[in-house]
Amino acid sequence: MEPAETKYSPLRTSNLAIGYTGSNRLTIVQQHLDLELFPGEIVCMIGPNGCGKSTLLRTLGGLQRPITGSILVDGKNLETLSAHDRAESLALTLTDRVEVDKMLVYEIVAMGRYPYTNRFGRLTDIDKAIVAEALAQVHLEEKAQRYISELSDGERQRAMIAKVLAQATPLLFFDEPTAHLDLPNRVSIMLLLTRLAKNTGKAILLSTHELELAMQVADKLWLMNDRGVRIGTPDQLIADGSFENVFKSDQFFFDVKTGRFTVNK
Amino acid sequence: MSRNLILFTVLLLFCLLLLLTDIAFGSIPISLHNLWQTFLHPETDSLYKNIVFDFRLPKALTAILCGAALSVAGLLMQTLFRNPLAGPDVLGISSGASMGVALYVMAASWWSASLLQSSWGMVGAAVIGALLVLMLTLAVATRIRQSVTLLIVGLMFASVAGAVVSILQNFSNPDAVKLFVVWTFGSLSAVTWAQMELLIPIILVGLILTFWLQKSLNVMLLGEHYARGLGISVTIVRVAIILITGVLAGTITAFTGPIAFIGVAVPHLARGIFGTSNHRIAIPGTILCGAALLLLCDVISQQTTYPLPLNAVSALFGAPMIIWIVLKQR
Repeated sequence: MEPAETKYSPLRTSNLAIGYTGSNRLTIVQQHLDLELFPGEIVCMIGPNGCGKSTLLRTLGGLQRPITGSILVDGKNLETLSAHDRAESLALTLTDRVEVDKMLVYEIVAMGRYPYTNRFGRLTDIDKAIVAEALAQVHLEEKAQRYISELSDGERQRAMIAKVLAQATPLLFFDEPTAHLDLPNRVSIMLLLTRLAKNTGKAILLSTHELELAMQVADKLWLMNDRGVRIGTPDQLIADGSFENVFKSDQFFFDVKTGRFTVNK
Repeated sequence: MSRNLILFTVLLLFCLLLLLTDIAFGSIPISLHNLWQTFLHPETDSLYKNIVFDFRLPKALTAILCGAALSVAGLLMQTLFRNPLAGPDVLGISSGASMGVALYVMAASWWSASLLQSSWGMVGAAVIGALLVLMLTLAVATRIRQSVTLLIVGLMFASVAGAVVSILQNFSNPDAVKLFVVWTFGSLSAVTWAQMELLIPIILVGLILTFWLQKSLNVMLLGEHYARGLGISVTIVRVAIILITGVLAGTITAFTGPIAFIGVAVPHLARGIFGTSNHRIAIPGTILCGAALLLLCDVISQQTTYPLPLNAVSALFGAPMIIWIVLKQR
């Protein structure tokens, strides 16, 4: 096995602090973060509301500035990267609902090619092949010529996943990709992302409230609460009691043997 | 694609037909034969030549430019605000332009009469007024997302601009007031060939820049965050959209007066006909639909003994359309 230091990492942060700068107030949500992602790996960010999952994802995605510390994407500092270069290094979906009238699924997915196309957005044969491949990966080939507004929530999420795939970046971030979906769709989206990480070698980071699902599919968990981020495989974090610590409550408890949450009746 | 090509061809032919109709009909009808002769021999001095070249052709050209510019301004604003009800008149942009023109006309009447003849002055004042209201509206729009609230804010800006204009009138000499009031009725026949040399290039540059922006406009439909994720500099694109909209709507308003409803209604018409929001199709579609609709409005307004005010005709088309958009939204 290779030592961890020499392994290529498309994303690496050191001493990162995230939060918001108000008019004259500084709110630090998380600090001293040394995080890494590796190719082919799926990492789930879990933790209670308000622990900074979205803030971290948006900071890593370059949508907001870090308070201090550095983020290296492909070895380059994210903050000095131009918007265009950033779009070729990382792609993300957000919880913002996309409400566009009269746009085909194909056109939305093809927007993933925008960093690469010319001024008028003309798709070359290579671009078309990549878009077709992205649609195939999420099994939406048959819906390609439908309006995005006609799709179900699950299909819509798959279309947004196809869009970031078409962007052809080594890093993919997803902010709560399973929100507002029913159980079969939640499972299918999580399995799809797991399969994508394995098949394409991309590093995938997602935030989710689906604890049990995340424990089963994730290679690694970033377990967050207001005191910091614990990193490990699901088994490690269960074994060392981190899980119980983060989700401590009078109303339910975490059963270490079964790996499940049980409600106190 | 072939379907779009057919639609574009049909629309273009429809525009040409309306252009001919617009030139042929009026208080003195001109037969197609005479029209043809006038175009073939423009050097012979005839009654028809004067009517066609001095009056009806510039008016029809103004209709085309005005329809295209106002509609594209509406399309840009609907994309910028991601709001189907946005448009130059609805959000008070035309009122801002009016205020600019009023200030200019009144100030010029105090200063010197020769300034009143300056097209540049009118255009500059209208564009500045339009941009001012646009920036105010954008500042509000970043806080408020609901369509209808933004509409009300736009109406309030329009009212404030209207009040400023009324107060100005109170302090002005009667000649300047008359000049301004006539301008507010909205007219396509006020543009001379000399002014056309200014109007045509400005509108063309605005339309070409809009084509130039089409890729960014498409991404803006997804919202600010997705646009930034795709490598678009959202601030630069926003400023560009505002400047183009201000120049298109402001310039046209300076020459024709405020014309209502075209800017909001036409982008919906174009997207409906072509079945797409993709700006690659929507921009040329909007230009053609806007030109056709305003030519049609002009033809209709010529059918009575005394020409109808253009705003009355455009409101008959536009107002029901806005009600339909509101009902469809819910």
